[in-house]
Amino acid sequence: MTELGKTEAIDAGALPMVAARPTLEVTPRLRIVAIVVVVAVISGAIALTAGGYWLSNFTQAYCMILTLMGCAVLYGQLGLVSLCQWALVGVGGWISLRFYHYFHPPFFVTILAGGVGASAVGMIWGLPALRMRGLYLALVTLMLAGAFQTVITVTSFPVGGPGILGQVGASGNERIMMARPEIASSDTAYFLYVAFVTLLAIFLVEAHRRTKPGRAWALIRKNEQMAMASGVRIVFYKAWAFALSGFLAGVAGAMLAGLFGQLDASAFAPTDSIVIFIGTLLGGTEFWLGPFLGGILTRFIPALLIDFNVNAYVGLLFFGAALLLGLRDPVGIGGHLTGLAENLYRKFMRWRGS
Amino acid sequence: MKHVLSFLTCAFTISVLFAAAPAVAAAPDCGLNTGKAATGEPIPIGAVTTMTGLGSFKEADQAVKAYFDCVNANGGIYGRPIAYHDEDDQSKLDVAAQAGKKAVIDTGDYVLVGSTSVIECIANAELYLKQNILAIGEGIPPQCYQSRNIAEVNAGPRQSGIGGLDFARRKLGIKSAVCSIPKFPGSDYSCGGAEEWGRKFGVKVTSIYSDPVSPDYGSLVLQILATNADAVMIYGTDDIGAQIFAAAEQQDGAAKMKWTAPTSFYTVRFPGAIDTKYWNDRVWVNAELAPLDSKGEDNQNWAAVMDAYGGNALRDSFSQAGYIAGRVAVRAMLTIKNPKDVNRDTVTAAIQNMTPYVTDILCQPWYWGGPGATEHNPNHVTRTVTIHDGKWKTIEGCYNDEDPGLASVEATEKKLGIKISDMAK
Amino acid sequence: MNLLPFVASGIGLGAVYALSSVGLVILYRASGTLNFAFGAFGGLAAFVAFELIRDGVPQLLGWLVGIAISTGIAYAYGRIVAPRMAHRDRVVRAVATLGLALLLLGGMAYIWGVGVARRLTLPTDLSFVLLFGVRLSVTRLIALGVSLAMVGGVGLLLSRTRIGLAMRSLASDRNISAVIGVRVTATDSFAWMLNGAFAGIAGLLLADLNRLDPGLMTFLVIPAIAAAILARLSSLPGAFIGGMICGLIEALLVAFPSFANLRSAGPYVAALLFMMVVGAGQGLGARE
Repeated sequence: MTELGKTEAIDAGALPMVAARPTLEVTPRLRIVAIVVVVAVISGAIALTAGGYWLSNFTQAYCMILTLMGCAVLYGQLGLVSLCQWALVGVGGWISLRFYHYFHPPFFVTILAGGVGASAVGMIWGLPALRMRGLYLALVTLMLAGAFQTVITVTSFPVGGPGILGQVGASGNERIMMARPEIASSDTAYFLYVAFVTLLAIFLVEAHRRTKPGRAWALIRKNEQMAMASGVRIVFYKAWAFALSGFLAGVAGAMLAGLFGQLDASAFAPTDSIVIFIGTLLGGTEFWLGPFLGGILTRFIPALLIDFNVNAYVGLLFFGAALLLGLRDPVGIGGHLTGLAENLYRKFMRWRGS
Repeated sequence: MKHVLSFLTCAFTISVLFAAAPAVAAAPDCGLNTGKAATGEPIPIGAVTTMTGLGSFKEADQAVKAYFDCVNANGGIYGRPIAYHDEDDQSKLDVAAQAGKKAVIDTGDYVLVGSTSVIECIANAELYLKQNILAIGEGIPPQCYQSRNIAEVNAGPRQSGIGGLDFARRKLGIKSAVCSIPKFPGSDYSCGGAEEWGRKFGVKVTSIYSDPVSPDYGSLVLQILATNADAVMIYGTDDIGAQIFAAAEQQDGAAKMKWTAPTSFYTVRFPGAIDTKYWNDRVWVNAELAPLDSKGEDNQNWAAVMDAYGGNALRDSFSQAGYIAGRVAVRAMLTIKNPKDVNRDTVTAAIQNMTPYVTDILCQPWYWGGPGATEHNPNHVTRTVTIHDGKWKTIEGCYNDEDPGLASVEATEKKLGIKISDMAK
Repeated sequence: MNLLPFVASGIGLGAVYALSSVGLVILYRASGTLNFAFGAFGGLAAFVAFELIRDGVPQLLGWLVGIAISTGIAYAYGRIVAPRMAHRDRVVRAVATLGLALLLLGGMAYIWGVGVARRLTLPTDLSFVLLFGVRLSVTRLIALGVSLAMVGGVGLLLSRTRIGLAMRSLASDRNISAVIGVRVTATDSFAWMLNGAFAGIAGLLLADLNRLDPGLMTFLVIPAIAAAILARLSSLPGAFIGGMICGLIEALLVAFPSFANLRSAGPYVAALLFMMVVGAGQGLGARE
């Protein structure tokens, strides 16, 4: 047994996806170590090599990872489709910017404000979900994303001006940028800060999956009547899932605001929320690797095309085609990687056994 | 068959030669005019421009590139060629910020020339300030005019709208007006400016901030007509504008009020996109630069540069403005006598301390105003054009825009001795 | 402010939404796919027609070719891609069409450009009837007529023809239909073709009534979905009425200054309220 544990520890370092598969009987502690190692290695490599352009893009990609994790909780754990997650990022961003310009609190407080605010809004937006499923829920959330786009285009994000909306313009005063935390004012340091928050968020979701809420979600997904019969408070746990995914989106919004110092309504069209959901499908809902890969890919591919000066419309054409091809596949990239790892692991065990 | 083909090829070649002939005749004036290609260490210069998303303004960058190519073929900056690159901001804040990082940090540009964007100034004004880099281009949001490190060749929507309305006050005798603008951050800077102007000149200005997402232009036109004002200023891009004009035509709007528009409508395509028979002499558009076919010396040089180096890039106002931006930058860099000393800090100082650049494309000389200038609006004297027989026709020459908010800019100009150029009149 | 003029202009906008939402509901009923690419199909048809007419092709021929192109693309998707997605749930099938929409949007924007002032006009634009003192152009009346004709025509097709019967049976249960000998792929493809043709007709009218712009035409599908929700994605007359309601709401909000610049949210809020108050536990949603 100890022998086996050792092998796994080595595997977890070298082949991270092995650790991501609970069926391999990886102990929770090993899994945590694996997650930390993978995120640290990838983030460290990015921080050491990337310049201004790529650092900014990867910071943005990490914010997308957070959003995708929220989507993956809803879809992977409960089978619920939310097409308004990116709008919730906007909500979190708006609240954190508003909070920042009023109080100038420490940065982590701003993040928490964005997270808690978006979590509350996410729960309210999730209310229809208590009675709806499938395409109908998806469309209701899409309507919310549509309405959000109109409202945010008109109100815009606070930039330190007067009044609740915090706009400047006719008065002609300057836009005030949201400051980053003191320990992370440089681009590299801020990227590592965001990576650290992403890591914390992965553990937050992981903790949910391993405790009571995770078991309740599994039961609800399997059979709602059965869940109800065994005393699971369905409404409560569904609302909890929406709150959690809203929280993750809100934190992502706050960190995006910190990255650019401000936000703009043009980034929050309803189709952006649909693309986030598609990213969840492409990466796979397999926690945590699926959202991690999905988030990086949905930002990395467009950023790469921009860097190579590919016309944005040609890029969109490729992106659309990639979505079409990717969606034919039910498990996503994360699923394939874990499947591959499992195969390798089995072969390895067989080889050891023989 | 073969003969027919070779005949066609021959005819084609000849016609191409004839078409290209005028370009050969007038050698453009570029930089040192040595006729020798520059081969030294390249000078990195960039731009962040909207090429996709809400529209495309890449004509500005194409003109900058054409002019820089011409300068590089004529000795460069005392032997150093300019390496020019432009990045697309896709009309998005995040992409604009990242493009700014790429240009300013990764590529290490010395100055940004030709950036023409709907969002770039909002995204990058602070970055430019921190990195001590200047940007000369064309801009739309207020941040393009109220930032220490950005100065634009165009006048901006606020100036252009006020200029259009002021023409209507002086020449069409309006007593009231509507300012119609899609609601965006900074849109109240434009219509708020029109209201300020109205208070000063006794014109009652009401603003309509419309929903930028809604495609229902018919209702917007009804809302405008319901105000019963004497005139309306239609803000926006020329494609949406054309649709608003189509909706207005359906309600016979031109009979009910005077229709004016800012310079964003003064494009090559706009007359083709509206019913020019109906709108003949009934739409007044503000123009910030000389007409494309102006016989002014600098405008002719722009045309010659474009013919020689511009390929098939569209010749429009953005192209003229890009040419001016490129020319200002080269002129300032040439004041640094030792090419080894050309770097970001020296280029910044050279542009800040430049002597005003006199050109017939603009109504008054273009200037920076020293290192202490906190806002820049060197172009605020504009013209008025109308559509006559399906073509643009200038009906009033250079006239100050009368924006009450320009007091400090005008004070600077008084100090520098800037006034409307004789050559532009 | 007098509301009646805005009622008239709302009818015009409503006709636009009604056309699209009827088109969406037809495909959804027949194949269970909500087509996010409906607007992009229409945009493609309009651009092809615009290009041909500009090059001197007779107007009618230009329109027909445009509609043929959108029909062809829809058929190709229904034949090649859609069957491979058939095993996935309705949401995934729907969002997959967004991939197609983005692909077409990218192509159209690359070829024809965005934010370019241009004009696709119909000869009926300048003839009008007066309604509440507002001129309602004949093009808008045609749009109304076409969407009503679509409702009627498809209603007849579904109830009176063999292919209509096959479509109805597919919509109610794919597996059983296959077992009893309904030709699933052929029926599906036919539904897609119908969708593409309607998208083409709608696209031509939309380009004239709103604006010939790739992004605008592609994303107009989202308010059209709001209108389709008001019909619970199932009733054809409902889709028509839903479209009219959405158009009226959006136009009438202009008259209320505090909501005027938020009016494009009107259709979404209407759809949300409808779902909250009326929609739960009924219609197609409950069956899934």
